[in-house]
Amino acid sequence: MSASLIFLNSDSRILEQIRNGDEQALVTLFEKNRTPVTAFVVRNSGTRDDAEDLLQEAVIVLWERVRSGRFHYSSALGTFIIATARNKWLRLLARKRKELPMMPDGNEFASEDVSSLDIVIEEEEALKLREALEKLGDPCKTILLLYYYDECSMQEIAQRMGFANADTVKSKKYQCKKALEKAFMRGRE
Amino acid sequence: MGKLEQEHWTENDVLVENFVLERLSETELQELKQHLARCARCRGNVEREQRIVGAAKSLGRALLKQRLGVNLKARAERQIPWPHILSTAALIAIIIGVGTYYRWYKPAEPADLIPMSKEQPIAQQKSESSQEKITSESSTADADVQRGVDQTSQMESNSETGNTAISAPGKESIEGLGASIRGGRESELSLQKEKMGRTKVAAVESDKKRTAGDDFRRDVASELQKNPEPTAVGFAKKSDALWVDGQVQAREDAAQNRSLEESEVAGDEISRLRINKDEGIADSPQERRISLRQEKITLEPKTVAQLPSSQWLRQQQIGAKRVQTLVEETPAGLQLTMFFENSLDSTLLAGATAQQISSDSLVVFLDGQVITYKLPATFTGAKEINTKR
Repeated sequence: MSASLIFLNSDSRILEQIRNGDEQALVTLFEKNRTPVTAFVVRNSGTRDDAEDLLQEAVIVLWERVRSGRFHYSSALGTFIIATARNKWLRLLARKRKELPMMPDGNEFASEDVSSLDIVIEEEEALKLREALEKLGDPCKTILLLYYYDECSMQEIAQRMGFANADTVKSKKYQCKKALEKAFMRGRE
Repeated sequence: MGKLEQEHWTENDVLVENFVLERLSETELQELKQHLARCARCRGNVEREQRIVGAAKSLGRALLKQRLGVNLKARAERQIPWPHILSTAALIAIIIGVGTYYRWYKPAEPADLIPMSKEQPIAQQKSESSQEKITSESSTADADVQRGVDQTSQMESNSETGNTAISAPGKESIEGLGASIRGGRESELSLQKEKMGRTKVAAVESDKKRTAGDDFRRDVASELQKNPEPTAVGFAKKSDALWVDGQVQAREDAAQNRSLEESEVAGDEISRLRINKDEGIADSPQERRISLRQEKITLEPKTVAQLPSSQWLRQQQIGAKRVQTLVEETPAGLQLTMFFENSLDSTLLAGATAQQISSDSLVVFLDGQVITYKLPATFTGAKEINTKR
């Protein structure tokens, strides 16, 4: 009984840190789960670097879920992270297994697989849009990231960035979106 | 909400954002999706919004991952490397422990203090040892030569009167007589006197430092360290007793050894004593006795069954080629208690001889065997001079 209380307290403290935007919670989660995730990845034809990369992504998934309010605490945070890392790694392995036989010919797209082509085009366009957003600079980049990634409200953004009120942020965000679309279109041309 | 199915709801930016960010209820979502299935323009608007949200999420995730990497690196740098520190501390503790053990406790144990000489002829050891002492004391030698000469003369005088003997108490008592031989070569004798003077004076200086049992032990250990291959293996509990290993050689080896000694050590200090119950008799006019600290050497044979328990392990290590011997300095002289595998017939002792071939080497001839010892200098010539002075 006392053990589970300690366990819950530890997790609830981390969840509170995440909700407050304290990124040290990610470091704590990473260190706590490094050993089991590394062991799993190394056992399944991965390297320590693969494991660390995967673990970073897993804790970020948890971060996003908690921040967006879509995380429902039903098991220990460690269990969630290990399961996420495990699923990601298995998907990656399956994808590698699928792709590898096509690699020697170098014509994996020669089969006129339209859906694959669409995916590639979409991925390329997403990458270009991301580059455009990155080049957009502040405050547009920060406003769009706070709104879409951190899912902050207009009021919160106004407070964090020092705008007069939520309406000002709303107006600014609209301008930023238009600027991003323009930049993206210029990049396509 | 049914009207959403009819109109182009994607004209409303907030609604599109909420749709893409999944902030709508399940009912609302279903209605909007039904319209999207029919309206290509609205699908385009939603896809455009999805690309923007996707790019923002992708960039946000990448930046968060980057910051996480930086934080992890910073944390790793801040962390104290306890495993390294602890392993280093443990290593230092082991080194100190081993050092302390060897420095203070090891001499009391029957393990190898310094390995015994096996191949090097005793005569050669003697020669090297004498040379080393003479060289090391050369700076003070000139001033002390005269004293050494005086001591040597005094010893010669003693031996002429036949008072150098080896004795064993009780039924196994053996006495030897030191032979005092003066060769016709006066120049050679003079050289030897000078060497003796230097060597003994050096020993006297060393002897001054010895005031108590611990000092004595330390001096002996120091002497043993200087000597490359003594046979001393450990100290007995008594402060002036020492466990040594005598190396046993067969008769043929012994004969060879004797001829080798005679050929190699001619002109150097040789002391040969006849071990006999009778009065001491000079062994041979060709043999000269230059220095012998102990006027009496007592041999006491025992069996290994009588060894103290502390020496049992040592006995297993050395095998039959060596004889564990307890060398004790008694008022009556030097006592060698030898522990043989089998009990020794007392008649064998009657014909035994002992030969001191240098200040720290002693050879015992026992019937068909020769047992060689290398003793620390403190058991040999050095102390005698001090006593007399």
